[in-house]
Amino acid sequence: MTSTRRVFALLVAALAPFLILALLPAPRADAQTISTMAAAVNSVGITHTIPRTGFRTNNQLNYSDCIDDDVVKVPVTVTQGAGYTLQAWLGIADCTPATARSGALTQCWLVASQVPNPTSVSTELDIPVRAIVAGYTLDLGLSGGIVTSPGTGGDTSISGTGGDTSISGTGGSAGAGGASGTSGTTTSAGIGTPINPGPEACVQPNASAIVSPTNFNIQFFLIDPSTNAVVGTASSWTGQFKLVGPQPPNNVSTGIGEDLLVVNFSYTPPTTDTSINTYNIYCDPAPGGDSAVDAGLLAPDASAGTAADCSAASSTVLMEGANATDFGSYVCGTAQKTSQSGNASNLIDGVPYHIAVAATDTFYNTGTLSTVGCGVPQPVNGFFKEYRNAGGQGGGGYCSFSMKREPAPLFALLALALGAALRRRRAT
Amino acid sequence: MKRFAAFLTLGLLGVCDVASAQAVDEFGAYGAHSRDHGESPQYGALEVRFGRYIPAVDSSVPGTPFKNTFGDGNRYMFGLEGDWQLVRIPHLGTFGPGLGWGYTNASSLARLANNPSEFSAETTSLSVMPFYLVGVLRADVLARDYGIPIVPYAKLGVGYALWWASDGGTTSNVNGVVGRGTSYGPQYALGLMFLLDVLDEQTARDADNSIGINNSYIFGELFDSELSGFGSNTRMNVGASSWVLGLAIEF
Repeated sequence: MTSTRRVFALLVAALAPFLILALLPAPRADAQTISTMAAAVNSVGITHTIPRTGFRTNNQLNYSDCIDDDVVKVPVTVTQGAGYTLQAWLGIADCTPATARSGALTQCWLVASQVPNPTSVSTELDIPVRAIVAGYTLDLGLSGGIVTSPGTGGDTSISGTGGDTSISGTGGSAGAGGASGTSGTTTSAGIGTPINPGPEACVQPNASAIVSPTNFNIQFFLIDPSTNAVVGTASSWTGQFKLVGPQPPNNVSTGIGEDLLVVNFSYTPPTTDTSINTYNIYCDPAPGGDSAVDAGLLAPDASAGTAADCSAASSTVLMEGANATDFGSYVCGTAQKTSQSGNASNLIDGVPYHIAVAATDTFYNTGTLSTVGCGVPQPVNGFFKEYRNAGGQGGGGYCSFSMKREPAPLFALLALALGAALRRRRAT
Repeated sequence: MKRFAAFLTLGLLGVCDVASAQAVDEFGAYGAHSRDHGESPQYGALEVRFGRYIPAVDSSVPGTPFKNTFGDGNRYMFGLEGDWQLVRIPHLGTFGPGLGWGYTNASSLARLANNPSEFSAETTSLSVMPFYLVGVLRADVLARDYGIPIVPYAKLGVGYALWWASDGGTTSNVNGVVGRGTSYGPQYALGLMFLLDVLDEQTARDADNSIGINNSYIFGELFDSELSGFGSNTRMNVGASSWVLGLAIEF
């Protein structure tokens, strides 16, 4: 036997067992082969019932999502789910152990539940934003508690409403109460019923201390209803929520400009909010001449007011600490997050304006209004006005050109054209 | 001043001393300090420029609107220039077209119209972005033939500038005339370059061998640009007569 044949024979002998195994028919999957059961989230296909605003991703939730009762629609691929319940749980711990979902050590709450269609592998779970944030904003009686500074006076119920297992095991009628103080409709159910909180879940406890988003992790798995045990492979979807805008700056002042006010602001002490995105500047009266006329600060046919200083009464619209979300039509300027000043523009000279500032975050929450300042725009002499007043005639745009008054370029062009024509004639 | 003159004289003597070690034959310079030992081909030059730039706005109108607004302090410009050394003139230097770009900005707080002695909080500014196309003659004969690391040069051509004025962060507008425009006119410059290669010849050779940089220089230049539309009264003169310092490489 040649050495080549010997090597080939050894190779065949070594690989034979694997070849035989590969050729045998695959074992039939049945209810006992739980290793093939799975609930896999397709996070790319996640949608919301309320369209996203701004540049937020699907897993960034804000106050508007919550108060408007947005629902996250999560596509899930279920493998061998017949006879089981597909559930989504949220918590600060691994929710697959039954003890994390019920009893004295409950650390998770049910946000969605569904019996999968046995003839379809793809399904979609509807998860209300309010259910996601409820564990962080309401006292669900969870072991160890997630809500660190709940409000007082609420009577939010976390009593179970059915199912074999209820996560209400501890806590009864919610002890310390919900942050909202409203009568509770929140229920924390067992296997069959996800919690269904009301708008009180959108109220952030200890709001002034919130300086960064909260991470959440929703876990998807199949549960055997008879044993309350997780079967197969679980998957998860993570995201962040933030329900309150940043704190407002507290040193707001105004400087005079023409048809504008330069608004300066800062924090004392410097803010630690890492989520600040921009600053909105609010004006009362709102920008534009019509608002000033409506406010009685500008004559209907006048192009400028007559006020020289800001002795008018304080604003009846912009109040320090008010939720700036309600004053969208009063926005008269913005400032970048790294800036400490911005222009309130589209104002009218000689009209006194009350000015406040609110910060917005990367979740598109708007915070509360700052202290309210005041200023009166006045005409100024900028460089170009000085130049024109001195008799300069430059300007008018990049394309402005006068053949009559600028003959030199015309002659240069004619000379070039003539030269080119003569050269071509000589060449021919 | 005397110390400076003495220093300059000693420096030149030192350089000339170095140069004296060289000799020239029909193939060019040779010897211990010849700069032609296997140089890569040379095609052009690139300059990084920084200098004082005060637009001559006030020369084109009665009054002094620029000075009134921005004061009489120094303003500076950053710029770049690329030259194509199209022709090498034996025993003189290189000649070819050069294209340049620069940017400068002057800003200040605008004065109140009703009380010009006081400033408002509104920022007013003038930005100028000059371009130019010039013929560039670099007389590197001293460096190449005599080992004196000085390269005088001259530039002559035309400049073209975009300018824009803004108030409160938006483009100025006075009675419907928007505050931006263009200006053009003649431009020339004279300068001196100091060849840095003589400070570390080995590094200079390495730079040529590895990335094709033939020579590197620091330079100083006096320039004048009359960007007034060849005297047109409808163009704001944003040219300047000033100086520039910079770094240059030939490649």
